[in-house]
Amino acid sequence: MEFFLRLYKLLTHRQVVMLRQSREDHTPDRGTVAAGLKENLAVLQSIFSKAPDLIIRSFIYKQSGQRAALVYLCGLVDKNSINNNVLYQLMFEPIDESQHMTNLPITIGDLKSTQQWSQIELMLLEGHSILFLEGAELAYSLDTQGWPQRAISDSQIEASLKGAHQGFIESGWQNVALLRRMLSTRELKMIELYVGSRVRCKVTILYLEDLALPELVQELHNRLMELNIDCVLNTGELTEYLEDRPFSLLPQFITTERPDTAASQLLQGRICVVVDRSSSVMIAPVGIAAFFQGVDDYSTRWPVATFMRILRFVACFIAAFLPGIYIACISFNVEVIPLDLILSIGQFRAAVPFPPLLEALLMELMLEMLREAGVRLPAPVGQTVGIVGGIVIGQAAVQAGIVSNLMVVVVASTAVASFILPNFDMAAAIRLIRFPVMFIASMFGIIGIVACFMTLIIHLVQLRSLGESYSTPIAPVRIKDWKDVFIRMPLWSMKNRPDSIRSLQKTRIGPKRRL
Amino acid sequence: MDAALKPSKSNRITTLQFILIIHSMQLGVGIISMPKDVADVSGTDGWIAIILGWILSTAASLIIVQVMKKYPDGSIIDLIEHYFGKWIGKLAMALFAVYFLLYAYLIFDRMVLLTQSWIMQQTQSWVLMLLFVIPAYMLIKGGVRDIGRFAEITFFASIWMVFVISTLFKDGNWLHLLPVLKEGWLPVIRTVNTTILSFLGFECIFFIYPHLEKKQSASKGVIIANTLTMLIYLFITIICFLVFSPDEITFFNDAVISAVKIIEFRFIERFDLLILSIYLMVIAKTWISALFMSVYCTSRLIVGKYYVHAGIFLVAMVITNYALNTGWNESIEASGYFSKIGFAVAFIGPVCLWLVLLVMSQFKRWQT
Repeated sequence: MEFFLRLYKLLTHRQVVMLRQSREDHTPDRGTVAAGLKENLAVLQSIFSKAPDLIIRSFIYKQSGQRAALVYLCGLVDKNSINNNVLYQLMFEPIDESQHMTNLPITIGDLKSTQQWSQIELMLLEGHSILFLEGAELAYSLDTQGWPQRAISDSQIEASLKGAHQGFIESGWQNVALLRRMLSTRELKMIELYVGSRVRCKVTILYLEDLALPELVQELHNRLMELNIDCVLNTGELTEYLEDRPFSLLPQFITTERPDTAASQLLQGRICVVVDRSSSVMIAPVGIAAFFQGVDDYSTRWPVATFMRILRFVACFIAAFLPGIYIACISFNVEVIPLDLILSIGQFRAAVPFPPLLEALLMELMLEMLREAGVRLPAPVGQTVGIVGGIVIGQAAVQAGIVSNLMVVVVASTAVASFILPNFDMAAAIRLIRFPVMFIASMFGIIGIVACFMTLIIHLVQLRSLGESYSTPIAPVRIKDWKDVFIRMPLWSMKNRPDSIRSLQKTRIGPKRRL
Repeated sequence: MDAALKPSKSNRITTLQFILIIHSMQLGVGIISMPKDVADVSGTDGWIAIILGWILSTAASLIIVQVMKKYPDGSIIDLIEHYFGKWIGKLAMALFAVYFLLYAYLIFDRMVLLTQSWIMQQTQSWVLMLLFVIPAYMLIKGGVRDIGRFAEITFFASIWMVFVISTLFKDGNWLHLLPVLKEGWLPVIRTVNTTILSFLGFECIFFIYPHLEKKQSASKGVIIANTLTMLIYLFITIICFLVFSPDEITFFNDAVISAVKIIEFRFIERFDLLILSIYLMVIAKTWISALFMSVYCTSRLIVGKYYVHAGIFLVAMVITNYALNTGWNESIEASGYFSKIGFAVAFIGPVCLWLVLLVMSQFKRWQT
């Protein structure tokens, strides 16, 4: 009985919610702008009720003597330009008989006229100011955008030594401008669209028209159009809605804060998505290899870059499997370890009362907590936490007999290895993979690790990013592309664009080296 | 039939994938006991039999390709249905389903036995089986293309083993091979019986041919695949013959692992454990591919998604293993019987089919 009651309550509650939602969906269409200024302002007041940041400035338009009103949301506009380029011009500019009335004496570049109230509402919310004139059945929208924003600075999570020190910021048009500066070619095309049913967010798709496959652009466009979200605050949110396999551990798109990374990806035929109000840019489609390519790889000399590449692959393997291998060797396959080493391990392990899995979990969790704490705290305190934690992990835990010496070495090298990967999302995924590997290793030993590795490879092979294979060029094998995967060959030797990223143009234009 | 199983743009395979799927079906558990099996019959001349076996298996593979060319857009099932009618098609489905299911189970069982006797002595064999159920299910669900990609990665990830094993040459004695043909050709020819069976697996061409992107490279592909397998067999067998003396070798059931056991580095002991563990990946793709071919047939024969069938079969395999609790003797005995069926399916079947099709294509009715 109680169950039915609950069910009933649940259902009615849902109905109420649905009703409320449907009411919100059908905000009355207010139609077009009227001729009278007073009526217009009244409509405006009703749209923006309880909005103290809505400024309405009424004045007399000097040229024609009409009454006029300028409306904007303070904080979203550039006050200087409103005062000097709009209000001053309209109120004090001397009468010029030769000018037509519609030719307003406003010194602002982007001036549009509009009639729809829905349009006006959106314009206001985006930081435009709207000019109403008595007797005119239209309103003018002036581009006076200027909201609080930070200066362009180096990216925090993707620091680079030799790359550009400009990072994306939280305003979409500036990010587009940064990309435009990197790739000043007319082939750079953009598609603008709005995402979000409650709060609209401008999303720009950028691609090089002579490189990117039209069907991929179309696919991405379709996926964005089909989205039905309340609001997008961050690129990370958007990627979660666009992914091919939402339950996978691995990131299926790259999000970057660096314009040079984004530009180099665009040059390889990939597509960029700039989300307004977010400082990172999404890149699609990507393969596993792209996560191992750092920005500095192309600005350092190629032998060094090659070494770094190999180091990253080794580090990735260590970060995912080393604790598992340690557990497997200690608890199952002791015979693999050389005799001298096993003796010293035995000596240390004798003092530790825990099984290897518990010992490893303890240290790994401690390490993850330290890492997370270090991220949240301000820099000076974070450092202290690091040092205290380091000492606790490194020395005190061993002396207290909680963990063995070798475990500390294993955990520490795992930690260092996991920070080598240039992409944050990938590094986080790899760190997570380590835990199931540890569990399986403690149950099945080295066989368990092989089974984990197999599962991981099978998953990699099956992943898709925007419908494109994720594991290229490793599988399907494209040996020619390996020039830029495990090693980085000299740039002048990469005459062809990678086969693994399908693009319209197969050869790069003029990679010649003067001998 | 599932749409995912039909050859389409989304599950085409490249020539390299075609080669490596065939190669990976051939190379599996057989190699581990091969040196002993060969030496039992013909002593250290056995390696010649491998080459003879290779010639026969390549010929059989080429015949299969010729058969498949008669109906390039479908698998062997479609071909039989087209030429012989629906019911014979169903019979062929059942036959292939049972054949590949046995193939998969026997190798899976052997793989687990190997693991159990070399690495995990105290673990029950069905528990070890359980460990590979999930990856197998995932891979089968992915279809031919993913099997091909997995074969590629595994192949490239296991090449290093060849180099490690070649360090054994310094422990070998080339005199073990001499004199060549010490007892004449007869023992060698008798060994061919054993060696051609170790090339079994190329019959998967029946099922993967329609997925091949460039059909004209099929013949080249099967030759390369067989050659690759032959080279690896030859390499391993000769290494074992060099390392062990001609009399000694017949005492080692898993001669390859025993040979690898000799390898020892300063930083790692018991290299055989490591190599065998990683070689499990190579073995796994043998039976996983076979199971895929099996569910390909059953999902056409009976209703249902092919991966659901795969799941059921995998669980059934674990239960069978738990219930029967078989050991090495049963496994070897069963493989003996199975190899007779394998010989019929992979060698006699294609030849007969080819001859029948040749005759049939003389008549107008079947020329289209």
